[in-house]
Amino acid sequence: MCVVVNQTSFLHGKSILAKDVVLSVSGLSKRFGNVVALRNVDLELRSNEIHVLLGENGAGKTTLANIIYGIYRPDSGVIKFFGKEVDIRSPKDAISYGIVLVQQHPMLIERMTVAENLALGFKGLGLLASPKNIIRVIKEVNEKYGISVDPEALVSNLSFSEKQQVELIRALLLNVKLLILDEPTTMLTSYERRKLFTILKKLVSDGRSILLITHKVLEALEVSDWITVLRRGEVVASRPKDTYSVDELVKLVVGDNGELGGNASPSKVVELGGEVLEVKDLVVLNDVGGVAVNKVSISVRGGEIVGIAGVTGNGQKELSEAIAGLRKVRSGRILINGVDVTNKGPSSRFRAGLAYIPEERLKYGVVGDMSVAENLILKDYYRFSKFTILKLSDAVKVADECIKTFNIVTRGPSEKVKALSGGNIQKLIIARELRLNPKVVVAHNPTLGLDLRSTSIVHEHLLNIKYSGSGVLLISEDLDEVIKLSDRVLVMYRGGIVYEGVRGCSREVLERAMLGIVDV
Amino acid sequence: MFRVKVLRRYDVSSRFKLVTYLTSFIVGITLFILFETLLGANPYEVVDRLFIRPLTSYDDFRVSIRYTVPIGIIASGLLLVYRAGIYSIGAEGQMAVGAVFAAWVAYTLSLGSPTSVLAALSIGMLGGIIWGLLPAILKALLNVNEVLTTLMMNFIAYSLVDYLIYGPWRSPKSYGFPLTEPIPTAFTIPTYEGIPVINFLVLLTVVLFTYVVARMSKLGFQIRAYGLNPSAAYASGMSFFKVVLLSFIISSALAGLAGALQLLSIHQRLGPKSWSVTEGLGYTAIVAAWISRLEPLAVVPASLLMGALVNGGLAIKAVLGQSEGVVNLMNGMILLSIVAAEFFINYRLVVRLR
Repeated sequence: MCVVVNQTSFLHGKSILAKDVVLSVSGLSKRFGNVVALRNVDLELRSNEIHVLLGENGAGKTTLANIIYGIYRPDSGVIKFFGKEVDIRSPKDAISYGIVLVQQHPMLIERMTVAENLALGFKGLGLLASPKNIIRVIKEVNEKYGISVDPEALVSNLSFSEKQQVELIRALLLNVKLLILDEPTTMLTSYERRKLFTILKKLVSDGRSILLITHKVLEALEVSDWITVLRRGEVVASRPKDTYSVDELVKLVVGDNGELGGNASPSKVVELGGEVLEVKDLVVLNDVGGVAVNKVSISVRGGEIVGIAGVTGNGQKELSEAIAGLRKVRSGRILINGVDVTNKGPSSRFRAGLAYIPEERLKYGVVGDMSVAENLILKDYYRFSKFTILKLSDAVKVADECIKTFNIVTRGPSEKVKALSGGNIQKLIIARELRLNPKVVVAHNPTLGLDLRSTSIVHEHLLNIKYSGSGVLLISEDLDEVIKLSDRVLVMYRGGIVYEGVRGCSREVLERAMLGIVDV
Repeated sequence: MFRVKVLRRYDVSSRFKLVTYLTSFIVGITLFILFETLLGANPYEVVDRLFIRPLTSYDDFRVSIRYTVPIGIIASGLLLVYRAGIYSIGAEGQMAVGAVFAAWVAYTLSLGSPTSVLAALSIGMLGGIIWGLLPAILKALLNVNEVLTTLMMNFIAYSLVDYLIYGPWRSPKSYGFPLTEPIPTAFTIPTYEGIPVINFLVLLTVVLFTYVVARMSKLGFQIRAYGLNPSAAYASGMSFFKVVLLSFIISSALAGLAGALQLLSIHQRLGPKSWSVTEGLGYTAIVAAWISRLEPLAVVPASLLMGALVNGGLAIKAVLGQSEGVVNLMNGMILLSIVAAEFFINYRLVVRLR
């Protein structure tokens, strides 16, 4: 601890030259296998400043934070802290410099009190610190920064926001110079969020710097002094907050993805059939018991693609899981092809004609340790049996066909699915679901993590479903995808449908609705 | 300073797996022999008693096979639940209750010879099922941890046996020992020169049955899907309730069958502790199931091996005057080594000098 203090005072003399740059990153690159996570990233963070790192999922924000915190090592590039080049090899190194990262999920021991948790790893009070002293120190910090956490409370009794504040206190006890927060607001209510921002502003006015990671544009504008936008591992803008407008920022974050391949024409209109999916006043809770989907009603007819756009975490996950039968419904009804399946399991939905392309394809879509053929019959395996004995030779025939029609790259029907690439696993799931002639397909982020070629193949299959007279509910965070494929677009924000547009509606209006701004 | 890193292995060859498992088995046995040596035994004698004689001497092999049959029958059932990702350790109790139910049939009904045996065996299986059903339903409906419930059911089963042999079923002619009357001869299954040939044929039938269920049937497919990825299995519409219940019923029925067979052919009466029908074989079968790598056909050699080891372990106990725990100790050491092998198959350690 002493070393850090000396270093700071020593560097303060020097900081006249380097202005007040606390952290400077230059030419930072990082690859994971074939994926480029960060490409030549430059970043300068000043003292007394909240610097927001803004970008979509997979833009490289968390990778950058993890490199600064010593969890990953960069392939190339230089990190300077207070003007001096540093080599941060582990979080322990980072903490000794005064850099602390607060993870998205608090890392606390639930069965201990706040004071006990904070006493772990806090050396400032000596080896035999009495609980009283720790509690006194916590109370001092509480008072100074307007934090309200009872030091003697059991962590398991705290709310998410309070646990987060405990992490903040820990950082302060570690004498933090640069605090990194990774998506701190995803689980907070708006009141809690405002409170967090007030605390953060007090922290920076006290001489600290904050690097805040978020994918929410409005939040970035609300709290920051400086915004750096990352897109696909590259810095696309880095300027003081006041120089951005909302629209510009949204464009910078999303980018214009250009035209995607594929031969099918999305705008071709098909005669509409009957209602294949009807969701009425659906209320669904999230994992922590909050309302994630709030009285949502959706209707999908045969021959149309209905898109649901929205920023991640606005209830899309809970909505799709509820329709698939993976999550309990609080109230409301779900009808598939006229059959009420509200409180039934996945099998009755599948029998009613629902196909589901899950977002978490490795968790819900396939059994990685089973073969391609076995995964292709995972839902209708019973059709391959005679006197309860499965005839896998028939499944292999089906698999050979699917591999051909859907262009799945694999060594053969008996290869284990976990050996396939993400795009091919997705093609396998789509092959399985479409083979069953569904009446309605629910696809959640069907092209997430896929390359352009696989993406356009998936798009073509979704359009073919529409041409065949079935309906599609496309839930996607990729606005381009939604705009390109959908006949109607619904925008989901904070658990509700806030806007409904038809094909050809303005992208800007959709973007604003995704942020909760709806002009009537 | 050393720095040890744990890295995940990808693409593990089946040869590597086999070698790792065999090595781990040998490590487990070696640890046991070392332990015996520390207790003052001659390691050569331990090896001789543990392996060589039970497998090579005809007299000893006849005894080994008595353990092999129940171990193999129970392990066949256990591999089904283990394939489903359910970790039942309740075979011991189910086996005991199977023997109790079979004994009840023998003491109360009077039937002709083949019918009587079949009746006792069926009712024995039913007893096993009843004992397995409570943990199964708790697991299927409320997802209650089956390790705890099945273990607890074992102790209840032991107490049930104790109640019967000290109480209502205690034989007046047993000179005060807590033993029941011998079962009527119409209910006994004959052995040939002490070898339970019929029981061994039952074992082979059971192995074929579980092979068909595990490898070829619809249920086996569902079981495997649930064991490998429960989320995807559920999302595909497979019933968790059905998979848990059916795999539990089959495995507990087989444990009950093993108990009934041991009673009718080997023990022919219920007794306490070392005279008990189960003799801890319900636990040994867990080791055999994992040694077989949950492959039905591999259960036969695995249970032959474990049968010989149990026989050898008991011989060591008798020769060296050690306690009941010897065989359990050996089981535990082998099982722990196999669990460790699982780790080394999935991960490798890289040691670097810093």
